[in-house]
Amino acid sequence: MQEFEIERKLPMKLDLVHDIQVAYRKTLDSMSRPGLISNIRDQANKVAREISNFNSDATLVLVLMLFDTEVKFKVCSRRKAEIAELINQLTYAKPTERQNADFILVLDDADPEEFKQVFKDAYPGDLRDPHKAATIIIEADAVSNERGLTLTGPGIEKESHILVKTIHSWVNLRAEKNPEYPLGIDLIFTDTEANILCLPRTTQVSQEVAG
Amino acid sequence: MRIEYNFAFFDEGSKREIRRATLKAVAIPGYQVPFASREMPIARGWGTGGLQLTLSLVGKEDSLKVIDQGSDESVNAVNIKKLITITTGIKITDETTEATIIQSRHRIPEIPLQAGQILVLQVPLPEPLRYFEPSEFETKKLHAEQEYSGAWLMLFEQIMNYGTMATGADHPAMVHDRYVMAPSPIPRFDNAKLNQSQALILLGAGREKKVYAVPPYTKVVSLAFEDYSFEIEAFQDKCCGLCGAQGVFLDEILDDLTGQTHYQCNDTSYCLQRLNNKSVG
Amino acid sequence: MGYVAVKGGIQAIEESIKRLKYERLKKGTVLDSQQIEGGMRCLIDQVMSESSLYNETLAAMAIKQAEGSPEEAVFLLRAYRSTLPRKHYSRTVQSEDMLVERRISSSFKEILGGQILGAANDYTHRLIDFDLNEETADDAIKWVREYALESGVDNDKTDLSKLPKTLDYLRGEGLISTCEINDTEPDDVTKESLQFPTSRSQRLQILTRGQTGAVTSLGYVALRSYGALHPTVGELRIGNLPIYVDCPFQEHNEDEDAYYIGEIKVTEVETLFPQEIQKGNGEKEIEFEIGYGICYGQNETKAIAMSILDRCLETGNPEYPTHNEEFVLLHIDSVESTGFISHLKLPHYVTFQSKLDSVRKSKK
Repeated sequence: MQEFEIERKLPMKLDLVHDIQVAYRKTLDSMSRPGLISNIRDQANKVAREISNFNSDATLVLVLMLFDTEVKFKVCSRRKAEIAELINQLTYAKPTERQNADFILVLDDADPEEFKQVFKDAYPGDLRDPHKAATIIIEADAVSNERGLTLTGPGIEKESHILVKTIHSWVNLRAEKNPEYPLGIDLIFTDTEANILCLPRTTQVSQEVAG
Repeated sequence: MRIEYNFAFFDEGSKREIRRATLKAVAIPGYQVPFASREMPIARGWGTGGLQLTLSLVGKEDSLKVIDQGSDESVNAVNIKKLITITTGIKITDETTEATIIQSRHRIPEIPLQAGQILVLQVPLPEPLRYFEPSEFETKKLHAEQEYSGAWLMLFEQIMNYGTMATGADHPAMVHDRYVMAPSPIPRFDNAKLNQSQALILLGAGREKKVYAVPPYTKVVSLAFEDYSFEIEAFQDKCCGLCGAQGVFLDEILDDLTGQTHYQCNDTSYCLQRLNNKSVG
Repeated sequence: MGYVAVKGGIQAIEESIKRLKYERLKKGTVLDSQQIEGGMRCLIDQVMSESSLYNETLAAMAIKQAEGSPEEAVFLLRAYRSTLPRKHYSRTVQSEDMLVERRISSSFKEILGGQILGAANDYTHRLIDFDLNEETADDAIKWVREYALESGVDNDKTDLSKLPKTLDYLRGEGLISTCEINDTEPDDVTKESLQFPTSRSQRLQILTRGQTGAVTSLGYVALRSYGALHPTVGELRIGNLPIYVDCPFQEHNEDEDAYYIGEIKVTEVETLFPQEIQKGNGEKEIEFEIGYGICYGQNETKAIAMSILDRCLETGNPEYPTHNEEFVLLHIDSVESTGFISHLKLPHYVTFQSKLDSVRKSKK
């Protein structure tokens, strides 16, 4: 779809070529180095306030970066109908059920029960096509490198540390969903500061032992 | 009908598709993710996969190095750089340490890569089992089942026939203990650089329409047997005739006047840098 | 004074490009693209079909730039096509709506609407006509005018835009099975790469975009020896098809609301293959299976070959390479095959050095 068509709908300063490219590089960096928190505040700030219904403008930047007519998605939020419509208008991506979605957006006002269901229902790929697994984008309250969880695996030199505050705990849900590499879902966390944290399925997550 | 090209040649929709595929590739190290693969103004087989990856990554602030067989000046590398600069206007460099993106055909630079750099390798044949199994449908099954006896068989046959493993370049490697990958026709000498690299390594096959990745700090082990270990090309005590470097991959040059063979760094910018440091120091 | 790289690469390339331009201009003539459009209709049709881009003017320009090389011209057009945003899919095209210029059937002598030979090389004697050297533009205009006057006097009342399909007659007689309309959204091979096993829409797209020589040769293989097929052309028709697109902002679109965006000339072939089938009671029966071919422009050989390969791939007999979808579909694309073969001209010094090392080690 032509970039100018999006611009007609979104009167904002976000450059759909260059700002999206910068945001993509940071996202790729975070996906390649789990635990590395990238920040896309400069890009997220350019999103017009009136348009964005997202708590985190970083989420909208991710949507514009990755969604188009080939993508099927699911929104989990109290405002899911309007958000789904907005996303469809902006990107032509098609709303669908959790099980069929390439991307599942869990916004900060998602229902905690639905949060659990998302992990249960998200498609983990199959052995022939593990890349078809869903990516779950979760709006967290805050994402930081304070000690909370320890990460190891590809992309991490020894270990890295993260603290992710969300409406519902996800560590066990993820562990249950991803027991058998190469199958599994990939996670991207955003927060109100426009931070991006990625957890590909290869990352091992363990809780910090207190004391 | 005359069109103004978008930044980095193709439209954002094409970039988006490659970006989605790349993120998945990074999440599944060594696994070949299919992508639509647009035709480029450069021929298939000449680096369109690497080129599409580079074009999906590149931004105004990047500094790009492109090499072919170790050389920045190879006609193919020059041609690719020309296309990228025409459609982006970004800075080109020969210095490995200055580059943020390095696109390469058949070599990994001698200077170790760092975080903040991305290496893009051009791949002709992404399927390490292809010589053994011609069908794509079947090789996907073999990868799904982690059934790699075909790769081991090839190496075994070489040992039986020649007393040693005889892959030239593109010696298969096991990534993150799960997928056997074709590292692209880099010499065996370079395979070790894939293991625990500080930089992200992306591999693109345009004609075959696959992209795959080796994230930083990922375990990559070249296939070998316990009693026949993986051996790199032997330059033994040879060194570069120009800068004196040892322990680097050398080109063998036959002087047609004298009939003498001498050796020279294959990585030309590395050689130049050594020469310049020497003359300064 | 430091050491600098020997910069030969850029200069060598620039000189090579100049030398190429010299080859195109050395005879002192410059081709007018319009002349190509006027006089090289068949090459234009071939190139449009292989590049999967319907535009005669662009094809003519590409042919001029490529000095007549179909390989290069298709490459130029495909690369151009890559940069075009794809906003719409057209409405399904019904080839019954074709304004027919040529239409034959080898299966039946008499068909409804008649055998219309149209513009075909089939009945010419392939003798070089040296008089064409003397042809002038004025001669051409005069001849065309006279021909138009001749054709004007035509008492045939057949409506050439409503010719029924020969196959429908066979269906009516119960000689071939009716097939249900399948409205499944077709796959678009330019948006998603081929995955095996393929869908029929993927196979047909790859075949229609295939290099003419490759498709023809493989069709020949299937016909002559390795395909076990005995086809007859049920119908071959050539003419213009109107293309419509729906309004993008409306949910549901009636026929009257659709926008007409132009017409394209296509060659469509439906071939009949007698196939022996075993009935439940052990009796054998013969049924007709269909092979389908369609191409932009007048590309008869390719369309017929395509229809043969369509049937081969539907049958999928593992004995025959032409029935193997990976064998056929992965190797007939002009840009891919010529690209990979020509890549052998790239330096392979390092890989060769590696092989040398292996050869030496093995000799120790």
